[in-house]
Amino acid sequence: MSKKIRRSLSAAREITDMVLAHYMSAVQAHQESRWVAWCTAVAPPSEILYSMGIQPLFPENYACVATVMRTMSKAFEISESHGLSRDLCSYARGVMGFVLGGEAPLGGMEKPDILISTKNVCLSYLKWWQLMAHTLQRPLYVIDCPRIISEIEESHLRYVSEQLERLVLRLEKITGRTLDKDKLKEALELSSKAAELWRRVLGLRKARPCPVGVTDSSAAMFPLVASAGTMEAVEYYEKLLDEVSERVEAGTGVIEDEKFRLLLSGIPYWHHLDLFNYLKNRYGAVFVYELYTATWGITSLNSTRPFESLAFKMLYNPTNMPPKWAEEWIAGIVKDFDIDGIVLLSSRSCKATSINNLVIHRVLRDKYGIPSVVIEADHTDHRDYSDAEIKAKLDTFMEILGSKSHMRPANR
Amino acid sequence: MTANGAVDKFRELFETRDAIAAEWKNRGKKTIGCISIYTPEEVIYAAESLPVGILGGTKSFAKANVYLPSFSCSFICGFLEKLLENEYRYLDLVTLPSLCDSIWGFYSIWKQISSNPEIYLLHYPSKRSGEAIKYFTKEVEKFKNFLEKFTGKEISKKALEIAVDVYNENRRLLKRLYMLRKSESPPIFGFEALEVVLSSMTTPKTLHNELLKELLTDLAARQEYPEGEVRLLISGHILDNTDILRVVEGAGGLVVADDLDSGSRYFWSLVENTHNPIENVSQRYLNLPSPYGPNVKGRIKHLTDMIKEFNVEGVVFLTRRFCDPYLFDHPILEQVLKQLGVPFLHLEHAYPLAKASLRTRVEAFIEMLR
Repeated sequence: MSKKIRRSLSAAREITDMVLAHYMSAVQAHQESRWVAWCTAVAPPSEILYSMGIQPLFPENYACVATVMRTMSKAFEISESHGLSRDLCSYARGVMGFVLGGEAPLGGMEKPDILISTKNVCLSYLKWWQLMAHTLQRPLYVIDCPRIISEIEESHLRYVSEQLERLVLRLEKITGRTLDKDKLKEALELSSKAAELWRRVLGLRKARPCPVGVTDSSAAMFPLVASAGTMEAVEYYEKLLDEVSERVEAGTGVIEDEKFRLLLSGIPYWHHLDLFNYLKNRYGAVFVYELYTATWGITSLNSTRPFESLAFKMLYNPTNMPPKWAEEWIAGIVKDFDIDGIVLLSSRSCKATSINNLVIHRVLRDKYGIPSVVIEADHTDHRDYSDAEIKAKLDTFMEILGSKSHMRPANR
Repeated sequence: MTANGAVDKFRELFETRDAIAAEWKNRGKKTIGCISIYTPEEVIYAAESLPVGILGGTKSFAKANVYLPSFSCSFICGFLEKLLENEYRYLDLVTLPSLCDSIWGFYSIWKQISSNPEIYLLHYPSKRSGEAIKYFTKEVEKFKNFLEKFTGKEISKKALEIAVDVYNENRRLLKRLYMLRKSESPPIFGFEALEVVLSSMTTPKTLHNELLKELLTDLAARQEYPEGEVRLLISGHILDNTDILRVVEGAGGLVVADDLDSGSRYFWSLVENTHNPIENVSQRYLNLPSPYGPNVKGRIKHLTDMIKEFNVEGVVFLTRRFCDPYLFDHPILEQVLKQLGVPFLHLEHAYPLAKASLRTRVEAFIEMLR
């Protein structure tokens, strides 16, 4: 069993500075009399905002950063004391704790001039944003997104793109800035380019040994979340692609002796990222793909039809697509990336990513013969995490995978 | 606390709802499960089908928990349990508005484990803007077209107009019943009113209208009145049964009004006209005060109006564990009541109900208000 751990990607280590710069950029925006918008993080209209000089911030990302920095406990207490149930989204509870006066890391999030919520992942998005808008006494703009039950249709696209166009009119009216069509076109091209580069980076993880692990991947998705539509993001992913390509050429992997290739579903437990190291060190198991990090790169944009294209991006995300789509998507990845097993992370406060994990587990097993394990904790709230219990469950799963691997054809 | 018999018929209708629906089906007609308050039932009625309000159970969720995690709400768990127990075998179809993540999750799960009954997902917008109204109207139109194929019955404009009349009549009658509760001595208990509303969600509407008229006559002649020490309003989601209200009223409260999916919100507003029935029906359903709209203002207005109109002395908030939309609204509603100086109690509950502890908390609350 190899114990040798490679250093993380240098591009992944740069993320800390980029995160700091991102939160500072909102302060700067206000100094320059530009607006700050708090947006939901999956396919927000960042391209529109950046081309209008409005700085988006993403409370979900902030919650995740605060969790990694271990500064959430007090925030949870504050939001609970204000009547927010512990059953609710822990991202929301954490951020509400900061909004309600809790001591916030990185100097806190610059207050918004407007809040923009989509409904393409969960209803919690809408409800959380309503609560923030109510508490901060700032306007809220909602982009309603229908669930997709078979395919994305013309009527879905028209509905969402009309709302985006209306958002622009509203932003123009209240900020006094008009949207420059050329700038929007450019933002879409940059956003699409960054997503394409990210897909290429993720594609390189087909290599054996896999050149990028889950921790680096979870950090490196940040520019696509925060800066889609900027040159900065494109430059970042170009650099990342170069570094990962070099690793592949040199045959450098996350671990030298890669024994198991795993797929991760769900939001990482940000308070216990070392869980991934446990699997790596103890079992030589590497996560070679995550549905979560892939979510930010799955669409290409057509800059000649910006609103329709952005509408498509909003609708086309795994939590908004029908079960059959998700099932085939997963089965395709398992095949392409030569995956041995799937770890389905459930979060007790995130129904959108977790409620059907028990069924996915059964479908993968019965229909595709793919082994998986469902783990339950919370993505942000460390109080709902039981290290011993989770490791015991993973141990059992790895033992099963180990016994299966003996039966594998030798030429794999 | 004694019920005086006037609502016995409604209790019986509600308790025998499965048999009533099964009998309807035996007559060769379709029965369609739905979340009554957010599904345009008029369209189902116009297709000569019976809309049956689906509810969560309250017993064990042993079968449902094979598919649903521990953090699912009891409404979805109970409904799935009932489906898996084959207690809903009379349903030909289930129509679900896409209200929350639990419903979308349930839809995904059911699609993967069964096709009987079929589930039809209706998009319920979170906006009330022009494009949202247009979109929802199209959704309802699509649903109408689907139902025509599904039932083999053409849904004419005339049939829709009749359906609106029948439903509006039910709404007016229920509202008249509720208005009687404004009186200093309301003629019925809150749990009885709930039985009347719940039975409206599961009984053929024309029959329900007839019985409501009789009830209103009977109540006018009522001699004995329910006793309660404090006038309460119950605010929350859909109640699956009367257990909680019985606990509240058994502890000395008298529920005189509500802000419930299985209460006033189900019938308070009418379909205003029928120039374009699909559009008029759609607008009515989209404008309900609910936690699924663009903001909480609608809910606040309905709640505070009810408090004033019904001379309410205290509010009991009911939230289901893991029911996100209501739990998210809760801090805002609490704040509103604090500003108004209206005392409130928050009961977050799960099934099976911990009745003893609920009772203790309600008693303490009533003691405080006395």
